Amino acid sequence: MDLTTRLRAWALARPRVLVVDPPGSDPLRWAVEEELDRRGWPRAAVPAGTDVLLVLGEPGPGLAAAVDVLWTQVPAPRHRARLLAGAEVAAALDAARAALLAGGDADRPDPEALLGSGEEDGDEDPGADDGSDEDADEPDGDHGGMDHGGMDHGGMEVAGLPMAQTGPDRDGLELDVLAVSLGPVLPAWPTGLVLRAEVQGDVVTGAELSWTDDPPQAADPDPQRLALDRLARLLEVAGWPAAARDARRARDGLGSADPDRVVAAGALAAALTRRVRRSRTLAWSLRGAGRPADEPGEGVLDLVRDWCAAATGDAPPPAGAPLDALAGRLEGAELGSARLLVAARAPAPVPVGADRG
Amino acid sequence: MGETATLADAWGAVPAALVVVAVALALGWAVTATDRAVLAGGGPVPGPGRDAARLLLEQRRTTPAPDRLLWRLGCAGVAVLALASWAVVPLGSRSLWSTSADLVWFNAAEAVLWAAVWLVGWGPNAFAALTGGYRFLAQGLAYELPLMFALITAGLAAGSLRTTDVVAAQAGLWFVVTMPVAFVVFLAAAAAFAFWGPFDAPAGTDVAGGVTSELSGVDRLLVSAGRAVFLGAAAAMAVALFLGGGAGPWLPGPVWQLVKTLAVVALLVRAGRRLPLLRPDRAVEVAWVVVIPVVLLQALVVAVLVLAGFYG
Amino acid sequence: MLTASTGWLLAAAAVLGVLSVASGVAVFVVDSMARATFALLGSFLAVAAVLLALDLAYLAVVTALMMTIEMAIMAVFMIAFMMNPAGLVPMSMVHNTRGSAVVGAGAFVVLTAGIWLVDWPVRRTAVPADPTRQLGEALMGSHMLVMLGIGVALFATILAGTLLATARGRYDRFGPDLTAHRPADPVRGGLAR
Repeated sequence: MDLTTRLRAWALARPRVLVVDPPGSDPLRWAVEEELDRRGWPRAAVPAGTDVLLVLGEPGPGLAAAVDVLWTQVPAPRHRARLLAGAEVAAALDAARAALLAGGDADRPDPEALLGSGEEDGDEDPGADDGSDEDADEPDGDHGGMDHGGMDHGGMEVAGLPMAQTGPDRDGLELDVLAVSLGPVLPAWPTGLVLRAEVQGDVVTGAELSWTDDPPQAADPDPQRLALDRLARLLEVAGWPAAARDARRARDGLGSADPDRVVAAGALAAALTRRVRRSRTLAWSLRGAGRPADEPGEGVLDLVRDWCAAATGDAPPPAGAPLDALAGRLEGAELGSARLLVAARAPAPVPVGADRG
Repeated sequence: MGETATLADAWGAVPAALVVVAVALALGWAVTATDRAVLAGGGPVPGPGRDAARLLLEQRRTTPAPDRLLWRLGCAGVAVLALASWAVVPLGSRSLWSTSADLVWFNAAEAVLWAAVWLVGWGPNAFAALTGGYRFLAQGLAYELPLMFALITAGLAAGSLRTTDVVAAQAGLWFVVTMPVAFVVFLAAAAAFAFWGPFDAPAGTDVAGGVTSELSGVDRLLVSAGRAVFLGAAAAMAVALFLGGGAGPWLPGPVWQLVKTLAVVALLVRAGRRLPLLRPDRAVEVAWVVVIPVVLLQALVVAVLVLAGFYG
Repeated sequence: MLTASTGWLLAAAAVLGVLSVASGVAVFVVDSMARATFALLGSFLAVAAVLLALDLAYLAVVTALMMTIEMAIMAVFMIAFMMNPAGLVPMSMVHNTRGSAVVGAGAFVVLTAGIWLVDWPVRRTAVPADPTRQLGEALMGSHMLVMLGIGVALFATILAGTLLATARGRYDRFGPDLTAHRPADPVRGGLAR
């Protein structure tokens, strides 16, 4: 092995993995995340920071199309792998790293073609990632990261991208309104969920939620582990990575075959939820988030406490909110609060088109 | 008046600059490694060096219709300005460069850094990055003044804006004893300027990494390294301004300085990672309404002590 | 009387001066608000570097500090709430071209003539060891009253400007009798006021 190859092998020994988990593949994702944590491989948050794109289970056609677009956004060297339920996680990760070292995948489909829009961007570097971050018209073409999605833009386009229109804002001014799509793949986000939003600055003024695909038939996972997973996701969005790590650890420990580990995980879950419930900083930071001042109802903070109760097995997990009701709550919320609300409400997958008023 | 000769005078400009850059990068590495070790909580720690190598191998990202000039300028600027703030941080009893306005230089470097981070968010023409950029502008505006007053308080007691004079003025008593508020505010504001830990909102998970969301390859390396180097510079500066620099018994000065700096890094990282994100829509009001008056009060107390001849 | 080092510094100051002018011209040439803002910042930073080359460290860094903050705030107000990242729509950075050209050229001529025509005083004392201290003593000593007056006037202007610009006053927030416990704000701040 010459020096360059060895340096490359050293540099890529712990690739960053972007895990795409279609609805119903929670236990498989937990196994993957446990193995990643054990190896110290970072989990990627966005395509720009990804080495290995790992698609779990069987994504539906809508999500699969989105993953194809996502893949165009991953910078080389890169590798795309699939992992089906029941497969050996460690072996799959080893194989993915080997493929990455061997040169990764060179093919790079044109995102414009995938999105069904024929317009070319003139100023892209030919050698660089010419990924279009935008989707013009195709609703199923949204992908991870947060993108400008055209809903009904009838206005100007520059470089093939829809421009913002102006609209009245909450302070009685005329401000630009931009239509964006969040999802279906985002960090700490229910994969497959798409939020089509109109934003003014970082305030959501119009929101519409939908799933990319019909939900698969899947057995419900252990409710306590599920609650810990949702709590981890919520803590991640709330910006508390150390607590989120403990929640994931407790979740993984509870699924272990070793009784000692299960006991330790139970203790960890109890300690974690006590810490989260008692954290004055978290309470102060989340107070008022997701709850309009003049309207009673459960704010994000109350939901955090509900998830904590479920995470120690003392209560069932809070029911997921219907999509329309949740979308109504998002309107008027600041983007961070909107993300917190979605994480705290954890909407359950429903058939596409159902759940509409 | 303290030592006025600089490292550049002593060793020649280029070797001295190289040494300072090496120290800055080493401390930035230490900051990142400590941060990751705390976050991993006993698990395996991904090494920052390996990350840097991987990012150098990686393709640079472009997005449709970016403002490429400003984007690249911003990425490079974050790293360059973090290094520039090291120019006035004393190593031993001398800094790379010394003027009668060192503290203002440090402050100016971080103000330009502030503008550079906004460019990183603006450049890629993407919603998450732009949102992160604006969050950082609001955050930087709120913590700029507390940081400035904390720096000035130390300069006030020393009667000089030269860092080496500030270190020399602490021969009798470390400044942290009479200005604990300024010390804490300085570290917190520096964390806010590196958008790290509880001030991470500009690069938060809720905006998919915010300003960093569209970065790959060397751009991501420059921005991450810049943040870490700036946090390291802030820790070293806190030691020089408030903890007596290299003062201490038995060991030689530079060793003391290193020990203290690493201790500040460890303290900062442990304390910062215990806390959840301080959401900017709530924290910024506290910065304006509580922190600024409190630091001003701290400056007033120090000013009265100066007039009373307390600092000699 | 030019030594080698002052010769180099003068050359550096001249180059930086040209750079600042070029950067200032760029403000009106580029077609995006972000670029115009940062071209202006570049111009200011070049001026700061000129001051640094003239060995006026404090004035140099304070110029860089203040102008950067100013430009960043300007960027917020010029570009914020304009949700087209990267200024995709090219927009002209000049208005009233003829009038402003006349005013600009006139000001340039007056100032340049002033620079060359004024009988600048010659330094009779030695260079002060610490120009920062000297500046501080001048500002806080004999010119204290002027500085304080300017400071209060600026502060009053800022307050007045904010008052005139804001659409919501305390009666909107706390009700007509100012009796509401919690202000009716769209987003609650961190102090639960």
